[in-house]
Amino acid sequence: MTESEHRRIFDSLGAFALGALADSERDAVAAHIETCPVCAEDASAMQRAATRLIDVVPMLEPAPDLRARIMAVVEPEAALLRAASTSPQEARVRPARRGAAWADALSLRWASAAAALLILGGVLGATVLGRDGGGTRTRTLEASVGRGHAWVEVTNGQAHLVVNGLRAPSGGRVYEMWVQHGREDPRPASTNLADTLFVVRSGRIDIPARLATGDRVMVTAEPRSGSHTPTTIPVVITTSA
Amino acid sequence: MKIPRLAAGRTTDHRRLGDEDLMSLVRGGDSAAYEVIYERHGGVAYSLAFRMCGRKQAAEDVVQEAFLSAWRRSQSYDAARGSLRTWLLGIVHHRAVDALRRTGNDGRRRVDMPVEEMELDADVSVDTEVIDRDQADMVRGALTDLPAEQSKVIELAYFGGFTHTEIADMLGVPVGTIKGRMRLGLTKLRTRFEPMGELLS
Repeated sequence: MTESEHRRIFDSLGAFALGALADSERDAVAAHIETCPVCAEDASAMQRAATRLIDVVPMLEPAPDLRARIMAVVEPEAALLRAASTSPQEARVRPARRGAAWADALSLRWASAAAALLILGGVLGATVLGRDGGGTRTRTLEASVGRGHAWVEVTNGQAHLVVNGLRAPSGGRVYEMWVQHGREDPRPASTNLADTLFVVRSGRIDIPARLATGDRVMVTAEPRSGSHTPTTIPVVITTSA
Repeated sequence: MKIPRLAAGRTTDHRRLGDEDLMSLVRGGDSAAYEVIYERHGGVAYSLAFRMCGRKQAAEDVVQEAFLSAWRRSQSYDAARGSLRTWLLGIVHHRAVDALRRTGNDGRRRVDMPVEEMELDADVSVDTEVIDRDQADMVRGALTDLPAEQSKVIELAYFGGFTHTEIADMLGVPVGTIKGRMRLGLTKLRTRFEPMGELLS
């Protein structure tokens, strides 16, 4: 870092604290303040000053269902985190790193393992497509899977997971299916772990469990022998309607 | 109004905890602790998002995205850098700026409107007029005391989500000048605010 670069960044910190930089410049400043304590402190103090501007904003009450919408995503992820953190197989959560933690642009690299969910495939929620011609209830539930798609179909009580364009699990792992009932911890979709494992990236897989309304189906990457509690963040979560 | 699904006792216990303690629980996957954090800061988060987006649905989307983002990277919150409120509002602000830039100028109808004159949608309930009248008066006074050219660029950037180059175009002023005004104005505000300490909730 040359003095002139430092100076250029220093001059941009006000705009940075106000969120007024274009993405590329914002990233450059963020990278700089990770290694420059002087600019980090300066940016941090200016960000605090900028946040005080909120005091002149009229206070409003958000719609009551906003909390429910947020918690509907947080709760299943929390259950999974708790289940995974009790697993002895892997230490999953990296310690927090010190730094300009408030800066949104910076944080992805530091994010906890949970943040990987955001990248690998967040939850999109459920859609119910209705009944098929024979009066059999068919539920189709969608989730995002990176760039692919996944959904669960339930016909006459038999559930199938349909995946399309799933990424190959890394590190010699396979995919394992989990079912989470209500607020309980997720369990392997079958007591026979072999039935819960699959490697196909696109296809239709029997789910060896009967699903109740509200159950969630999750998919994680696991060692070849399968796991009794999830050791990675899921790449698929579907929620039945 | 949806009834909270938490056991009342558990939530009550959590409500006795400070933000830092709640965040420790959140890192361990405690969703009830996070719900209390939303209870405390969701209102101000929504108020900021609404001030920036000017529309109820867009503001709710911003708050939802921001709170999910904060939940998923609770590890990156560092209390030594500032309060949880500042951290959360930083994320909300960042999301709102992104939303404004995605929607273009349609999403920015309120930008040039002075804060005091902002009208509210009829279906938005006003809880209290401002967070704290004394605080608001102090901040408003500090903004008023700035040279108009500095307060203008700060408000356009912070509440309007405009980039410094857009503001430079708008005002017909060189980009470097705009950056300088932002820096100078914020430095003055900082000097003025710092004796007050950071507002924690």
